[in-house]
Formats: sequence, structure tokens, C-alpha cells
Amino acid sequence: MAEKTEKKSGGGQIIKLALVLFAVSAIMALALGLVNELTKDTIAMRAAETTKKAYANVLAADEYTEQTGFENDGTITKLSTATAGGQQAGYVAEATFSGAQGMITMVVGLDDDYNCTGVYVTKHSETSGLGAKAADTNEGAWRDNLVGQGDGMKLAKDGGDITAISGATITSRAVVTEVQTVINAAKSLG
Amino acid sequence: MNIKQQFKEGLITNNPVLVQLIGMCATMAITTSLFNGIGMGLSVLVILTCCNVVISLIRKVIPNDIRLAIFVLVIAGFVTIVDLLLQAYVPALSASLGVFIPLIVVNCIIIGRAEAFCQKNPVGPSFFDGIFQGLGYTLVLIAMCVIRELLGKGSFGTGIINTIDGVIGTGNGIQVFPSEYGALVLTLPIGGFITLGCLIALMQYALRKSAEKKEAKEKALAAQEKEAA
Repeated sequence: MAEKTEKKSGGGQIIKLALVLFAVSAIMALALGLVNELTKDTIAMRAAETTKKAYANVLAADEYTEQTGFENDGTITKLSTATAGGQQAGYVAEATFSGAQGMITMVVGLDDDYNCTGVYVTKHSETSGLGAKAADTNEGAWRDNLVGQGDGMKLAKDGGDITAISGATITSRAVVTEVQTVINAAKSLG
Repeated sequence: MNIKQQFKEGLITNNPVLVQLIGMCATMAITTSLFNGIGMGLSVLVILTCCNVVISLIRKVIPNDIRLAIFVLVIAGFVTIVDLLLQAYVPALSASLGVFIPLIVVNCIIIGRAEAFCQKNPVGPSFFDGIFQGLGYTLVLIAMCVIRELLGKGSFGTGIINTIDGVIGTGNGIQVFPSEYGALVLTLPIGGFITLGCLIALMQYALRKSAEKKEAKEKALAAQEKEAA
């Protein structure tokens, strides 16, 4: 086949190649467009579901009201006050910050006294078996250590009383620091 | 080439990972839980089969000069389709495999089979080539997952067995021994290299053994014939 192509005149051949490539691209693009159209809504729904589940997991409440004008170092994407039974129950924040390997997206819950009620990692790329344990939501997982921790929380290594995930100090520190950031933000709301 | 031989080639004598040594990046990266291994293996199987069929169908109209560009286009298309479908319908798998699904685009198993097999063979054999090479890949992934999970974390079947509320992709599987006693190094990337190395060595040993046996048999047969003559 290669010899045949060389014998043909340059111009016409290039146009033919371009046409074939264009045709294949067009067909693949069409197929992708179709699949995207089919899955778009489901994917968006899944993401919303995950966030909703995370909210309920860190701090169960009837209503979350988004707030503005809090102290933010750029990592908090959304901070809401939670109300349960007509009373203010605490705060829930969505935050995206750097872990050890990449960005971590996490939902943090605080009670009315600014103590952590739970964290829920919704997206991360930490090392499996090490930093990824921060996202573990099974019973007895590392994240349970953060529950009840309040302002000034720190890892044991930094002078606090939270044990880091073994072999994943950077991830643990990032998560703890972020919870502290959320506490500061919630306090700044007053 | 018949189906039986293709089956044997894909799974054993020409296994993509253990013999052709292709597609190893993802093999080492994701084989930390049985759920990941099976999910990745099946994704590759589906993508490989689709690409094989399409490339084989259009093999006569693809100009030789731009065949690689077209292969990559077809592969990238199918990978993105599978990626979207997984995100929509198997979010747990999509979350745990992460970037390694889109990375199948550059997984050399698929372009390797397109170049070595599909552009020279009709649709039927290409289809079976996809299935069997995909199966061969999946089996290696499963073996790696079982070894690394068991020795590294002391568990078996993470995400598949003992799931929370029957939701696939959750839970910790069966804990065979406490995870503190596991060799954590095996769940890390370096453990992937070590495990894969051992598996390849085993495979080569087995292949050589069977080749030697065959040779000895042929020799004995030839000697017999000589005697008879």
C-alpha cells in the first residue's frame, strides 16, 4: 500500500487523506455527542447525590442555607448554615484544597459550638492504601478521629491530639488544616 | 487461525501483560483491590473488542499513511464513551479508577492489537481477539489484585464481597488477617513492580517447561522412528 501512495501525485493524495481522517473524526464526534447527551443528566444527578449524601453524613439537618461574606482563604467553595427543627444546628462547608497528590474535595460539618461533626471526602487522588484512607467512610475509619475536635485542632505531631494516618502525614495535616480553616470561616460569620 | 488457538494465545502463550509485556502502567497502578481489577479488566475488554471490530471493518479503506491517527481517534472515542457510561451508571468504579479510565487511550494493548492483528484480519477473528486478549488482561489483573490485597492488607475481595448494603464498590471485603500485619509495601507502586515481576517469571518458567516437554516428546518420537527404520 505504501508504494502505491508514493506513486500518486502529492496534492490529490493529501486531500484524500484529509477527507478520510475528517470522515472518521466526524463519525466518532457524532457518537461521542450522542453518548454525552444520554449520560449528561445522570452524571450531574450523581454528583448532586454524592454532595447531598455527604451533607447528611457530616451533619443531618432539615435545611442548609448558603452564606456569604465569611473569612475565606480561597479553599472554601460553599459555606451553609444548617437548621434542624427550626433551630440552628451548625455549619456545613464544601472545600477543595491540596492534598499530598492532588486536590481533595471535602464536605465538613460543624456544630453550633464550632466542633467538627464529621468530614466526608467526595473526590481525591491520594495514594491508595495510605492517604486514600482519609476518604474511607467505613465504621472506625480515620475520619472518626476528627469528630468532636474544635478550634485549635492539630495532629499529634504538631502538638495536638489527632493521630495522623500512618504513612500519610501530609494528607492528614491537609485535612486537619482545612477543618480548622472552616472553623475560622464559620466563626467569622458571627 | 481458529478460535481455540486464539483463546490459548490470549490467555496464555501470547498473554498481553505476561508475554507481550504491554499495558503494564495501569496494571501496576490500579491492582490494589479486586473491585478495581475486575472493573479495569472488563473496561479494557469492552473497549478492546469495540476498537478491534471497528478497525477491522474499516481496515481496507484506511490509507496506510494515516492509520495510526485513525486508530488513536477510534480508541479515544470508545474510551471516552466507556468513561461517560461508567460515570453515569457505575460511579463507584469511576471514582476508584479515576484517571486510569481515560488513560486507556494510551494503553498499548489496544493500539498494539490494532496494529498487529486487526488491520490484517477479518472482523470475526478480530472480535475474538478482543475478547480473549481482554480476558487474558483481566485474569492477570485479578491475580495481581488478589496477591497484593491479601499480602498487603490481609483482605480479600474488597468492593466485591461483603459490601455495605449490597452496594458494589464499598466495604473492606473479607479480612483474612489483621491489616496491621500486612506488608504495606505491596499495596504501593513498588509492590506492583515486584508482584508483576514474580508473575512474569512464573509465566516464563511455565512456558519454557511446557516447551521443553514438547521438545523431549518430539525427540523421543524421532528416535523411535529411527529405530524402527
